[in-house]
Amino acid sequence: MRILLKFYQSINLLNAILSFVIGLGVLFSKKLSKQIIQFSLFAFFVSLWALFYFLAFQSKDYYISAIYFRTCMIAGALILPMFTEFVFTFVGKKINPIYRWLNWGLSALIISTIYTNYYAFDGGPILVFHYWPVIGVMSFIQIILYGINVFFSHRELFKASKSSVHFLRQQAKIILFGTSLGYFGAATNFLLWFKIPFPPIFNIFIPIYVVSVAFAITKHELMDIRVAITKSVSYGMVGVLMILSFVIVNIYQLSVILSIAANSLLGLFWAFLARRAREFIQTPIEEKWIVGWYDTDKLIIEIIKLLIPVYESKEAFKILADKLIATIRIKNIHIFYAQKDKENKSVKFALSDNSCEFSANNPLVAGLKGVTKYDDLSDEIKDSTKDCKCLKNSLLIPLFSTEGLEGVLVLGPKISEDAYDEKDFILFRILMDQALMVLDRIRPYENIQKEFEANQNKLYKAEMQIEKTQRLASLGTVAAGVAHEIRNPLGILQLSIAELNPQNISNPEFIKKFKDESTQNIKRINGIIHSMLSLSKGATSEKIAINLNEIIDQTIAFFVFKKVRLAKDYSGAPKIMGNPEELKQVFINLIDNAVRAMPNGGELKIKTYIDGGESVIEVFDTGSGINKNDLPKIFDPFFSTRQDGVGLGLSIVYRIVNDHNGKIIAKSESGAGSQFTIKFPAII
Amino acid sequence: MTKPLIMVVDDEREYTEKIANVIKSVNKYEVITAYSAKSAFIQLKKHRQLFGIFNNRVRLILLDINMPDMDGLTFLEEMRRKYCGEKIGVIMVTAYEDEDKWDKATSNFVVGYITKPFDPELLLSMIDRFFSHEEAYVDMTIEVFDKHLEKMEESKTQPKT
Repeated sequence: MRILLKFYQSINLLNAILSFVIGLGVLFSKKLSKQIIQFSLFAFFVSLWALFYFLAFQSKDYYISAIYFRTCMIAGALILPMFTEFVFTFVGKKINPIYRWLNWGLSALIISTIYTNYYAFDGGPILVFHYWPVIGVMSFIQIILYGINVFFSHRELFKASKSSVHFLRQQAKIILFGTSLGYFGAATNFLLWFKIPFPPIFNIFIPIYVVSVAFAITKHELMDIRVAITKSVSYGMVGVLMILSFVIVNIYQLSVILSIAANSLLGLFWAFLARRAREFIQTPIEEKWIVGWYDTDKLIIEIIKLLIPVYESKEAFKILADKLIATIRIKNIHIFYAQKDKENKSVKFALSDNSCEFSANNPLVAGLKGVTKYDDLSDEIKDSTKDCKCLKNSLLIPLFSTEGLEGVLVLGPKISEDAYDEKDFILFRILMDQALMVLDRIRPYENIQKEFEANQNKLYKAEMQIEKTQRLASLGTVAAGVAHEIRNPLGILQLSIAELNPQNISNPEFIKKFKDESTQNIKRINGIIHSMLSLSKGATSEKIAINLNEIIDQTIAFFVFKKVRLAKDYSGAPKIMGNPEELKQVFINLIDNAVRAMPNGGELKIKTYIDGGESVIEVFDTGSGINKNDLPKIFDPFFSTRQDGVGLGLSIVYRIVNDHNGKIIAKSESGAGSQFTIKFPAII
Repeated sequence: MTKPLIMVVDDEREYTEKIANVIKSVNKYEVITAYSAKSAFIQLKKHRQLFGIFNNRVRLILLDINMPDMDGLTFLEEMRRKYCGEKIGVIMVTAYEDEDKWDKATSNFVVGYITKPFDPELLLSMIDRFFSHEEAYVDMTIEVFDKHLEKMEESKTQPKT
């Protein structure tokens, strides 16, 4: 029976100290607010109550115990209205003034009578207690006050736990849990008043009550209560197992040496296993119980692995965002990218769709140093960024490189509507560090890439310029042929005009012939000039249905074959969709090459036919051929075996054939001529 | 007396006929046409007199340079070799771009160059001059040589840019 008293006393002492410490802790841990002050007062009252309770039974003197006991009830009378005040402040409701006056009034009334017989008569010993009061009138009133406060605080907390504000809801649930336990535990104090022999052992719930409420209003933002519980459960289970194992080992009366050996072995065993066992128990419980639960270490390793092959900061951000959405289950993530000017300085931050942007000296980004809740920012900053809807209720994770801010991840609320807890914050901080490393690694590549792209652009422009030059050069080679072509019809025209004389001018037959001839020849000249111009201009991309044979014939007309014998072998009419001018360029280059390969004469053979779905052109020459080593390089730009060659002819051919979805194959043997085979997809 | 025979060699049929018409129109000359070097040789062979002991009936050839198969210059060279004893005048009907080829033509004795497109009067005056007297063939050939030499001098003094 003495043990029960000791247990009871230690609960009270624990309660007194704990409540006092928590009250102080809460008071100094956060910015002072009405809620915090009210809670601290509540905690101090609880502490006082427990302290005097403890003192009342610590003293053996009957009267001193009586005074301490009654003093303890003063604190008890203050706890109830104080807690209700706190609850109302917490749920953000105004307390009904009538109720408030009633509450505090009754409380004051009780306190004023506490040392009188109106409150209670001094009673005798009961159970283990040497003093216990006998119920008086005011005690009934106190029980009524108790009932009223239980009702109101529970009602408000219950309502809040159903509220739509996710944060409040979570807190309210925790407080409701603690409050129910606490009031239930406190209620057991009343049983002895009515001579019901049940000791108020459930006072043990009161510290839980205070702790859970304190947790709810302070730590909740940082730590998920479920994490706290799973942690305590797993630690507890491992602790129990540990104690059990030692008890079992020591229950047998072993010899000293054996006992020492067994105990130290067990000690080593637990030293090795305790943490693992705890994790073994904790992890599956958390995984099952908590939505969006993740293993921080695993997640970070996964993210690092994903970031290894990344060479672009945008991509890195995207990977981070995707991974976070998938594991923490976040409703939405927005990414603000830094956009840089030429000197690599961040100029502004914007979403990828540019819907929302601010300059680099905007107070929001300028002041961003670590993971920040948007709601915690000053009103001034909020005001300057109020256009950005995505920032509302968000968490900002700045991602730095050593050069400065590279981007900001804007995390929306979780799908579960839970708040971000301490675990999340730790993760975000590690991610910031990882991002710093990755971004610093990426930066040189990005710079190189930028330079490379710029150079590529220049090179491309130069190539286009050279291609144009080459086109003009090949124009030069055909110019002689063109001149011949033009001179013939011109000559005919001139001679026709010379034929005009007074006699035949009235001859209708002659005039008709004259007209026909002239028109035809003018058309011919026009056609030649047109094809020459189109060559120099560069081609349009327009593709029409064309007969390759016609194109080749028109191309051949540009050339003057001196020593080279031309053999045409056309079978059928190979038609393709193509750009006539570009294709002319192809044949000009091929024929030009062939003719140049045969300075001492030879045969140029052009063969066309249709093979399955393909229109095929083969150009043979009996010229010097191409060296075996050079053959793979002939389509490369700037590769030339001729001294006067630019080396673009065949590369242009290759490009044009490619543009027409065609294939070109070169076969050649040094000294034995070359053969170019071009295959285009045929049309019917 | 038979009219002198002139042969026009050009692969461009229409043009050949036109030239032939121009020459015919003055009613002083007979004209035949050939559309390729090959057929020109056939014509020359046809108009041989006494196996080449007498001059060929074809007295003058208007020769185009730019022809498929065998071009005018090759034809000229070949002709001079085959018909070396025969006095056949050749007027090259050509273009300015082909001036660099004139060496070869000149060395094979031509009596003149006429550039396309040309005034028919110019052609007729050249033909008339050729047939005006016996020595015209030599005079005109020498003139061509002289002009050619002058040109060579010019190109020597003017360094190529």
